[in-house]
Amino acid sequence: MIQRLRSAIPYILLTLLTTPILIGYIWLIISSVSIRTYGLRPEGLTLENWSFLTAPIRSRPGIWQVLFSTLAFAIPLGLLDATISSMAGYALSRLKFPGRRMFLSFTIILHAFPSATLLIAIFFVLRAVKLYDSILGVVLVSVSLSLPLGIWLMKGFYDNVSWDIEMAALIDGCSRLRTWWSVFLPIIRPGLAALLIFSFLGGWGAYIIPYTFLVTASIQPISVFLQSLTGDYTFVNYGVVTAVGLFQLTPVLIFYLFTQRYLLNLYSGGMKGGA
Amino acid sequence: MEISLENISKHFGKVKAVDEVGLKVPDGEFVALLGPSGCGKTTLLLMLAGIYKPTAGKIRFGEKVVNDLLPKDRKIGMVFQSYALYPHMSVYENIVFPLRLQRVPADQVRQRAQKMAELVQIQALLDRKPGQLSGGQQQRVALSRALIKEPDLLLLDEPLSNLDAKLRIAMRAEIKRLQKDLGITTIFVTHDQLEAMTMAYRIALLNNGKLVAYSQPHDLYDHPKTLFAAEFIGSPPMNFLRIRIEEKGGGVVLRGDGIQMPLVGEIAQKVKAIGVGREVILGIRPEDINMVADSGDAKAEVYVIEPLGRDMLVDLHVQAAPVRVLAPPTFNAPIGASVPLNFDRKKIHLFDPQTEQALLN
Repeated sequence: MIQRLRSAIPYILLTLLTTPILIGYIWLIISSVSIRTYGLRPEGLTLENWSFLTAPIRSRPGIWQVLFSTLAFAIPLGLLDATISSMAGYALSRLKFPGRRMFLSFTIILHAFPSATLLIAIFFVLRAVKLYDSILGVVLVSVSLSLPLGIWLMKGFYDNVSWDIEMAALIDGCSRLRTWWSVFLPIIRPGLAALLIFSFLGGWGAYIIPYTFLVTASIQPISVFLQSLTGDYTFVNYGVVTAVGLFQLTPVLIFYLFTQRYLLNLYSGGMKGGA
Repeated sequence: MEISLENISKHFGKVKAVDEVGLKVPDGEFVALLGPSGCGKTTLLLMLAGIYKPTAGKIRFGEKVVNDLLPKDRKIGMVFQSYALYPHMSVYENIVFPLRLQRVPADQVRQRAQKMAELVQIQALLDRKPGQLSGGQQQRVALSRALIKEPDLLLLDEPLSNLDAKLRIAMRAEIKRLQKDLGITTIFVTHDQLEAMTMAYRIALLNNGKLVAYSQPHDLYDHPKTLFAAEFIGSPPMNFLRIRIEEKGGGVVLRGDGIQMPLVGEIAQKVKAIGVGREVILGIRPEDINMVADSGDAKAEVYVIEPLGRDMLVDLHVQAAPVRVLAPPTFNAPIGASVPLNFDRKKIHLFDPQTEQALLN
């Protein structure tokens, strides 16, 4: 009995800790289909809050336009981040070149750098290169801000592949590039997939960068759209806000459900037993 | 293909990993690079593979200098200590990977893979991933991947050290046989002198980046040219005793702590020529000592007896100096007993304590 109780303790603790978050999710769902809520108690069920799916909310762009803008931002962000990180990570892990050490230390420093402090400087840069208020602009900014972490993570994965395997590939007849493509990429694929997903999700939920550098409503991603619903001087309809929030959240949840195996890889930093 | 190294050096910063090594490997021969860890043998092998570039000297494959040739253009096969199989590919894909890179036609690829799999007996494993194989099986796969290109030179880096003792003996014979059948010039690296002795036709003994001996196993065993070679080759290792060459009557006596070994005839003359009164190191292998005569060359005390099955390894002390003797299994003396030692006159070695060079021969 004592034994059972002891093994139950972690579960009890975890349950207590997750309850507030769980209640938040439950409220979100309830609120999105009610006219009003008193705590968790809904008053009047309705699908009115979800009408944004078919008709634009007041003067704002339609939700499918917003969704398209979000994907147009998040997909290139994920692809670019993963591509560049996988190449730079290989170079930092395997090649000797002048400035390698400096590169490595900069990677860590830049990762630790709070990006919000750069906003004003980035604004001037984007204006100068005429990329202010364009999706390409925010993609480039977001990629460069997420590269340090991506490169660092990828380097870790490459470091885990033994030199013997690389030498074997070179002797078997590969060029350096071919070794990277045919031997390394397949081996680190779990890590690469994790980074891609991670980066994409980062773009999906990104707020501060798009909010600062995109002013045209039709190219703003969903998180900025969501914020605009609460930023009006008019009465805030929390039913609609929660419905849109849920709309943004659902794909992420589903995505996590299917990809968590890969995402866990990123934190363990290796592929022992996997691959 | 004949391989020659001409004064090859490899420096890493100030460290001379390989220091002016010169040797020739005739076509089709099986050569071991032997030495303790850190002696430069793997560095040498990686220079042959084209992974490292020599700091100085020339590497020739046949007549051609290959110093600047990329690994992929050298027509070599290599087996790594860790086997280095590609974890994401099946065994079949691993084996045919070198052929794919050469763009060999598909039907030929299949044929050659089949032949290779038969040669090393892994037909049943072709669909598996390396992670599902035992060490011995992985090694066979690595071997077939190295051989499928029909390389001019086969390099093996400690190929047996990750196998258990029983499998190691089996693979030792198998690799030796395979090499003989295929006739591929083969260079393999090992720190295990027994492996080098049993497998190689010729042994290159390295120490601190320098080549200290290069000859056939029995020659290295019977006539070591340096103290290091004498010490490194042979298991249990050679015994070393400090002695002084003294003259007595017409002959010579080797005298040390608890040792008095009279010499007569030809050997006496040779020893005399080294110099009467000189302090030298006497080397004698455990199997060249017997403990039967009543009055021996030395009196020793039994310290430990280790039965090896076929014989007994007896650890003794001659005064303070440890001596090991291989005795017949009938040997029977209690620990602490005093026994006489007789050294086989034909099998003694003498070394200069300063230069460590052999003085007889």
